[in-house]
Order: sequence, then structure tokens, then C-alpha cells
Amino acid sequence: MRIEKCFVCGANVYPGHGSLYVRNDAKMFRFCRSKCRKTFQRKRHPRYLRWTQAYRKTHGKELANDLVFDFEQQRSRVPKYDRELVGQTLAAMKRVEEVQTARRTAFYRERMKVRKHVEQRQAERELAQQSMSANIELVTTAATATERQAERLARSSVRQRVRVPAGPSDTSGIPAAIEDEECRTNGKREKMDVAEE
Amino acid sequence: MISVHTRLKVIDNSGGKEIMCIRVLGTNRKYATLGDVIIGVVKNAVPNMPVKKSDVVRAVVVRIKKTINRKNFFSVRFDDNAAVIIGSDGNPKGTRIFGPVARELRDKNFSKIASLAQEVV
Repeated sequence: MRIEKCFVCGANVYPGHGSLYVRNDAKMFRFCRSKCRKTFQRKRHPRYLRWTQAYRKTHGKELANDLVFDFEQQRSRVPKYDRELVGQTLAAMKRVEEVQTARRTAFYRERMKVRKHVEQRQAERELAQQSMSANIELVTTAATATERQAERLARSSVRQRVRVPAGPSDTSGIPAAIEDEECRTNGKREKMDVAEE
Repeated sequence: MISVHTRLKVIDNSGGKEIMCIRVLGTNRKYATLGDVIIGVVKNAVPNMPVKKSDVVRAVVVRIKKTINRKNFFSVRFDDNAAVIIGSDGNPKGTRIFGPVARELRDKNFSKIASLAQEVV
């Protein structure tokens, strides 16, 4: 008995579950559940459906074209029974699992890192625009804008890097806070550039 | 689910192209499934071949559209309803079989058909 992969979503299909459709050219399609089977019947391509592994791999959201997948290839030749080989295989299976999880986690972390930078840059740009307009207009508007900005930044998990003004009475502290914030973000950007190089 | 009046594709080179089921063999059988023997009438045939149009023939069902549940395995279904024309001894009349056939044929002693087939699923 083999653990098969669903043709549509790419999930594991265990023996006794799912369904098998045999086309007249003897190509077999396995489905893990009725949702996948119906999707196939409606002629939807898995590559264009957001919830499938095929979509995630083609859009760079999952680890693809990696050496770890070569361990899982289907081999048509059946090897002769060998006690030593069985032992080796069982040991290798554990190691393969470890390597796979490690590489997947590393890929995920790398992907999230980029996302964090993108979000941060967007926030910086917004902040710069708002502070520019605030300099021309009334100080009070600037104060509310920075407060709002600070709130937004605090929400987007960069809480430590932003100093929120102490209170509404202390108006002199606000521009200083903005400057401070800009300096820090500039420093950060430089660091990032170095890392990219 | 092959019942009387169901039309099946003939997938061997006996000369028949299409048969219509006129009887399911067995006591009080209404429907035939994979590996069951039916009696059919040839509706469409290739010219100059042993099996002619409007011949009454025995045939065994090798593919069905209806989903069948296999124990400890997937539920399986095929693209079409298909049959192979056999003689009274159970051997196929043709010498070649096209496309996949079901594994159930082996259990019902049609191993000759299973061995001739391109693929046994």
C-alpha cells in the first residue's frame, strides 16, 4: 500500500480514503475528498486555485525545485529484501524528515523576512509623506497624524523601534520623536542594503 | 450499473463497435457490474469481420462509469461503460484489448482478458 498524493490539492491520500478516476488512456487521478474530485470534474486547473499546493509552489509560497523532493520519488524497480538495507532505509527516513522540515522552515523564515521589509518600507514612506505635510500645516494635525502612525506601527510588530509621545501636553517632544524615528529607520535601511549586497 | 438497454463500447478487435445489453446473466439480476457476463446485441460493427451487426453475443463488462468501492482501497470509476465479447467458453473472441480494464476480472476468472489488456487498474 502506498500513500498517494491528491491530484488537485496535493494532500496525502491514505489507503481506504478518497477516490480514483481512470481515464481511457489509463492515466489515474487520485482525489482526497469530494471537493477535489468536483473541482477536477469542473475542469479547474489546480495551478490557478489558491488553496492547492500547485498554486503555492508556482507562486513561490512553498519550497519547490529542491533536492529534498528527490528522496520521495517513485521507483518502479522493486529491490530485493536485504536486512541491512531495511535498517539503513529506516534510519535514512528519519534523517530525510529532519532535513525536509529544516529546509521548509528556513524557506518560510526567508519569505517572511522579505515581507517584513516591504511592510516597513511602506510604513516609512507613509510616515515621511505625513511628516512633510505636517511641517507646512498646523502642529496639531501633525500631532494627531503621528499618533495615528505610531498606533499603526505598534500594531505591525515594530513596537520597540517607535517612541510614542508621552502625552498630549508635551508638544515639544513630538518633532523630536519623528526625527528620532527617521534616523532609526534610515539606519535600518543602510543595514538592509549591506545585507542585500 | 449495466441494465437492459444500456449501450456499451466494445474494446476488442472482434469486429463489434457497440453492443446493447438485453440480458444480465444470473438469477434475478437487474444490474451488471465489473466482471459480470451480459447478453447483448451488436448495434454497430466494422465491416468484413466475424462479429456482424444485430448478432446476439455474450460479453463481459470490463469498465463502468458507476463508482465501485474496493475494500482497503479507493473507490474507482472509469470514463465509459465498456465490454469485451466472449464465446460460450469464456474466452475473448478478439485477440487484442484496448485501454485499461478493472482488476475485478481476475477475481472472476477472466484472467485471459486481464493479461491481454494494456493496463489492469
